[in-house]
Amino acid sequence: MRSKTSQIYLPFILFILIIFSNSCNKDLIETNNWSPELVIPLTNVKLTLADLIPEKGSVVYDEDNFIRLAYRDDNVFSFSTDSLIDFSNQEGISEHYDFNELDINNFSEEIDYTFENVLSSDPTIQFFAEAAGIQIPFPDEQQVGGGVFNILSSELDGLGQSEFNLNQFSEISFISGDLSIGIQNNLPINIENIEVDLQTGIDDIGLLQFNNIEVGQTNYVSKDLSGYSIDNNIIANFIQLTLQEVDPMSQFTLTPDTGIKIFFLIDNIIVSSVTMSFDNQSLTNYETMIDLDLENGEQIHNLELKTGKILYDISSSLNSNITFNLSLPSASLGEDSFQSQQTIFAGSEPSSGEIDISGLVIDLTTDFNQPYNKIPLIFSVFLNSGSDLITLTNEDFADINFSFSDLTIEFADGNFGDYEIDLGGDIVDIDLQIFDDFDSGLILDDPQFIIRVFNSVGVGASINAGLNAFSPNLENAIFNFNEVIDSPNSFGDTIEQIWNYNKNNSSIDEIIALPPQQIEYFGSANLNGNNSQSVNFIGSDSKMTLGVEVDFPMSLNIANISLKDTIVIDELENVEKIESLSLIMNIDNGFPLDTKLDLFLRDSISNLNLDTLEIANFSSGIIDQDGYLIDSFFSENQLDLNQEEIINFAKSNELVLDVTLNTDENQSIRLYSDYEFLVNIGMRIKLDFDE
Amino acid sequence: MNNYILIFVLFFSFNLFCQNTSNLNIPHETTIYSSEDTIIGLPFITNHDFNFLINNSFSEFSDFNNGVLTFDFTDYVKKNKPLSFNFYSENNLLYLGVPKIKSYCAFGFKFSSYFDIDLSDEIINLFWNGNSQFTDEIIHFNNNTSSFLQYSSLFFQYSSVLSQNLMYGLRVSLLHGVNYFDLNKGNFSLQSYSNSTTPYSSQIQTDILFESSRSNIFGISNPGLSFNFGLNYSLGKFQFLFDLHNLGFIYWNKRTSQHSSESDYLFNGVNYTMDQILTEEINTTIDSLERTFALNNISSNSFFSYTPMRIRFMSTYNLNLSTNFFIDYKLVQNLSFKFRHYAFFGLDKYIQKNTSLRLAYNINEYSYDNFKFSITRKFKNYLVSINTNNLISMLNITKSNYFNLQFGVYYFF
Repeated sequence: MRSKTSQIYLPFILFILIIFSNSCNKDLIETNNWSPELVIPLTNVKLTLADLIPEKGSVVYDEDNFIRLAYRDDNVFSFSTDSLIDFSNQEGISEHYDFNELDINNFSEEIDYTFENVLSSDPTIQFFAEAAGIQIPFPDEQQVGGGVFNILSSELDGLGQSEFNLNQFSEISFISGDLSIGIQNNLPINIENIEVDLQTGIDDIGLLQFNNIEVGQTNYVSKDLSGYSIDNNIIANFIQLTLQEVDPMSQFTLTPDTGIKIFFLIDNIIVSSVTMSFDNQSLTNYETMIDLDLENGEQIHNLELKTGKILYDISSSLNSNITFNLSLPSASLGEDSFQSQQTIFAGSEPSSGEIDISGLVIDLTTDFNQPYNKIPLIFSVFLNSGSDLITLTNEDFADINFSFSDLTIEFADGNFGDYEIDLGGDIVDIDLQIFDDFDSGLILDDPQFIIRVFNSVGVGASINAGLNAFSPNLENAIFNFNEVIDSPNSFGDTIEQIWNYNKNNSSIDEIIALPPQQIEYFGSANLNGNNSQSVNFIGSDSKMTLGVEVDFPMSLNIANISLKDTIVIDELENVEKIESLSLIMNIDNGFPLDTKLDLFLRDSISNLNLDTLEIANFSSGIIDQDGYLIDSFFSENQLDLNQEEIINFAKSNELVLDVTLNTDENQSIRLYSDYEFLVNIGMRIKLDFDE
Repeated sequence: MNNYILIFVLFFSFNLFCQNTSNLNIPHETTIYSSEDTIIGLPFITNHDFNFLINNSFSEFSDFNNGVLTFDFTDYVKKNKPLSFNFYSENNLLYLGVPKIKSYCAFGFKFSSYFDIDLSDEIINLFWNGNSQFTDEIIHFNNNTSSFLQYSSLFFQYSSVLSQNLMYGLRVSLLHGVNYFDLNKGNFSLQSYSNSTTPYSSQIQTDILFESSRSNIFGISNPGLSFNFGLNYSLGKFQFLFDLHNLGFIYWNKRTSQHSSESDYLFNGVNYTMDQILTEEINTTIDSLERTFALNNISSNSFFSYTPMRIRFMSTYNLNLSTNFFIDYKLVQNLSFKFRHYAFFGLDKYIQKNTSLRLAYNINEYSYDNFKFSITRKFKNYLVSINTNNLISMLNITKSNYFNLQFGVYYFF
């Protein structure tokens, strides 16, 4: 049964095996004699002179596509206000102040010492006074008999002491000083004698005696305070008060104001130390002249600053705010003369700040001896402590520095002198890369080299400049330029001067024919300020520029040009299946030059030239006597590639199109960017797919 | 391959005289099939029929040696012959036949595949020798078609006796389309100019249209219906059979699409200026060509297709109790609605009642030297049949234009 079942399934299994046993084995399927020959339109390459001489760098096209090498740089050399007069930073004032002898303002004080105070200062006296009929406290007015005063005078051996506080200082040590004390008698009776002992918290001033002070009069007593140190707590000890004896029966009127007034005055004060609050205490005050430091002897008469600032920094042992006033009498900002007041903290750490003086107009001719470059300056410093007490000693100091910064000129006139400015120089790789393509140099019909100067600086100059051009072989040719640049007549004017150089008046054709690979340029300007008939001037926008313009029309009379362009391609695979390959080309040469076309098969990775396919030589398009193209030249070509060339073609990843263009000798041609070289390529390829 | 088949046939022949049974007709062969037995087809290998027909033998353009198949169209192209290839297979996977009084009912499931391709001699020439030979000539590559159809069918078949001499049978099949591809138009022309501005500029015209659909093997998304109808008339020793198969249609509804390319384009190669990148220009040109000749999807409409029909006329003359002479004529339609003609002349021979042999000479429009060999044998309750319409092709398939193989296994009870 088992074998019968196998028989049943056998046909089916066999059929499946027959059908599918070989169907999936690709290696067992081959072809024989399969070598189709294909013809394919391959590509249409349009090569224009614009491709070979692209409009970049120095190459420009005219509107009619005429090619010219043009280069213009209006600023090869230049100098402006800053390079002509550079005084951007100037020294100002740098002062150190020692406060060894300070002149302090006078101190004065008035103290009312009433009769009521005298009577009530001692209980015994007050007892006697009340017993004698004096009302204490005093009413607005009371009548007292003269006998009462006679009794009291004998009892007033000591009125006691009274303490007075002077508000203007705390402590003071005098180098010199005069104390004047005055007592005004506001009693109804003359005073025969007052003895007052003055004491302070430091030194005692001593006993002061006043005699015979009539009613309503004031007597003064002076005391030299040199060497004394006092504080403001003054104790007046009235040792003796003697009143003139009066008629006992007489009546005298007493009011609450009845008494004596004491005047304190300290003047001519010079101190070694003082502790007090200062109000506009002058520390210094002086005038000076700032002389602008200019390198080249320029003499500036009038100056308007475009920008500028005064920088200051102040340090002091005072540790207090100070106020300084700075004024420039010959400078104005608008219609006002310039002055500035600044209040800053003067501590041991320097404090700094700046004062904007942009737009300041300065007359620098105010100094009689040097009527240029001079700026007068007035400077004063004040101490203001407000209510704070400041101790000022003769060891205290202050450092004050002023300087001018970022000074730029909006306008200046004067005499700028005679001196030389180096305009600098450089060696540059020139951008006229097309020169590289001209194997035998380039001889142009009408090259132009133009130098153009613009001058708005109110001073003339002599320019000495030049070009030194080097070929790749280090051959050189020199072009020199020595010309005088005029000054504009008035501020705001600009003069333009142009010098045109060509083959006939310069060595420019020698430079072109090198061809130049590098150009070294150099130059200097000699200012002629002293030779000017009028005052020199300069403004912020004033500048003197020297530019060059190159204009080389591509009108050639002989050339051997080698131009290259690269086509990037992908490497071809299965190239072994190519049996033969022919390129059939229809070429329409619209270049006005005989053209040789080669194709370099390159491997950019190994940088190897694998092969060179010499495609063909083509006659130039037809040109007229003036070098214009009349008609293109058509030709048919066929390039058969051998097996090695096919393999090299397949290996290459770059096709370098090498176009060599030639003119006949003395054949003048003109190059236009839209001249076209058309290559229409078809391919006949025979493949062999047999394996 | 041929050796396997030969061994198989010989093995089968050695057992010819060992068994004994009577009803040796094959259930799938005709619509009028009837039996007294209940029959089950062996699942998945119930009955399979494979047909290949090619207008020229493979040996004319290929060679099979040492396990290597080598194609060479060189001589074939010289004869300017087109290539026409036709294949179909009908694979009955399930079958159940139940006898009734004077009638017979059957159910089954079948999977059918059809593939046709017609290539003109011009396109073969172009493919083999390239387009250089056609320079400056306009060449039309027409009459290139290709079709592919697959569908499954679930059928019910009923056969009965109308009168003493007349039997009829009817099969109704519910269809489900699985794959459909029909290249309605495959025409294009090519002309390359050697004297154009760009050498070998080529004018290309296309007129291509195809429609397609596909679905899963099982489903009802592409429904269809077909009918088989058969009549058998007995007249003395003669029997006449008319049998029509696959008269029906499929409504393609799933993933349908119609594509066409109708372009006229002058290809001048890649235009290139030096400020461009060549590879990019090549890609741009290729993209442009692809867009020009793209088989654009013009619609996704549902559509109908007809099932390839087969018509059979057969006449049998009973020579004696065990031998019949028959003439069998078949028209087999391909997907292009063309009919292939097959004619058979041969004998049926019954041996010991459990084996039958059928030998016939047959011809068709591409092959004239075909010998049919068919053997059917019962192994107890098993009926096994194997048939080929071209025995020679079994021995050397590469030299044949026609290959046919049919086999089946049934269980009777």
